[in-house]
Amino acid sequence: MSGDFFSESSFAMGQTLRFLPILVLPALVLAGPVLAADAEHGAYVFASAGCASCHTMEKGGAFLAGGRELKTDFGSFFTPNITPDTETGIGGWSDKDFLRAMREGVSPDGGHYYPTFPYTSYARMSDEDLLDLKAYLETVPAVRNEVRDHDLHFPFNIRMSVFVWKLLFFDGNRFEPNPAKSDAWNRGAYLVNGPGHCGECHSPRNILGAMDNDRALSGNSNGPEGDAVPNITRGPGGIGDWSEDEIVVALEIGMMPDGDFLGGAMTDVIDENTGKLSDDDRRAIATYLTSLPPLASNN
Amino acid sequence: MVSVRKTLKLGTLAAVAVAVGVALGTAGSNVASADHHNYEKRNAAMKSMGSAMKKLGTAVSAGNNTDAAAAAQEIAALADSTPELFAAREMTDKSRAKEEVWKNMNDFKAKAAATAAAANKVASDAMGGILSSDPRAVVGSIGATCSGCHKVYRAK
Repeated sequence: MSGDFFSESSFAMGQTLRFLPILVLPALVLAGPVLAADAEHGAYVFASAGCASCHTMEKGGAFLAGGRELKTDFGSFFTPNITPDTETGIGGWSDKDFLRAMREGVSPDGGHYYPTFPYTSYARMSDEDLLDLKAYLETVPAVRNEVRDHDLHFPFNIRMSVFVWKLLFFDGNRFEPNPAKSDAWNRGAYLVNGPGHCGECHSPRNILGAMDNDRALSGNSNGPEGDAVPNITRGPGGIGDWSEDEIVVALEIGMMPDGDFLGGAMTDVIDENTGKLSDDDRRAIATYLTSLPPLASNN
Repeated sequence: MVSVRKTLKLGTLAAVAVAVGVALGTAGSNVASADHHNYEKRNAAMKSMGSAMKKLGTAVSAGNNTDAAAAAQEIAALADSTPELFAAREMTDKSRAKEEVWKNMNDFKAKAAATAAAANKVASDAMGGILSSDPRAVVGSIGATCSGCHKVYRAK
């Protein structure tokens, strides 16, 4: 694929820059990933990454125009406008800007994003998924909405503190498939740890708000809005005794094994994220989750 | 030296304070929650709704319209009885009902009505032989109203 690009543009560039051949190679190298991005697939990635519920205000907010308040122990965050508006949104961002934001938590002007924005999970995502996502975002209606600054307690209101936090807690690693596992397992692992960012709610966190990776997905007694978030490993107190089929059904329509229906923050996840995935992808998530060793609950 | 008058005044004041305290303490519930009678009834109804939802799923998977209609009617009846089950403002340790149920009773009732409407539609589709054969779509059409209420009115 990048081979196609290279061969096409090296011809064109070779013709126009035939007198400056030394510039061609570095230009091609710096051009980066250049598949024709697929906005239609991007809409699917958008669902799998669950962007809608945080980036849209709960009542009467314009789609993806930001401004939703996320109350945390560190203060209140107000989500940014991610419509293509060039002044108040992300219109005009380059591919590099977008990849850097999603995978490194760095804004186009070099500032650090707070990890409330889950780049800690999105870092696992592939170039293709991220660029397709960007292509989709470019198609949504641009909305002019200047979102207010975050309202954080000292010293968290010092954005440089995130730099230190990242040094301590952020690995930025890409997803590495496990060749010993099935395709379905690997797909599930990618979805859960990458775009699905499930651990951001379902993993316990330390006092500085970093996820405890040793106890990943075992629940959080102090989750969003102060609610307890269940254990989704095979350990007790959560979904530990659910079958793979039961997990698939829950992810699709929110029904639990006893016929009860999920409420709370998970309803947005079912409606906007897992409910919109393919059956195969839901099955992949269930395959991965049911393989996780049992961890004790943290709620 | 404390005067008798002053002591009586203070004593009365104290008694009034205690009385007010007791009144305020019990003002929250208009039903004695010692036997949790109301909680148990409404909790049992909710559990029956869950069982009926599962029966509905099984019936749709088996292509059994009669059983599907029966299950859906059961759900509709339980949904219709929900506002009455929650009329008494009984809070117990085990209950997950939020205060908001009684603060926003009109909306709570509307949500119960939505479940009844969704279930009635499934029942009439089943009786008319036009019910979808996809169990998740059918169960989900009612389930969305369950989640819609739980999201707002039920605590974790």
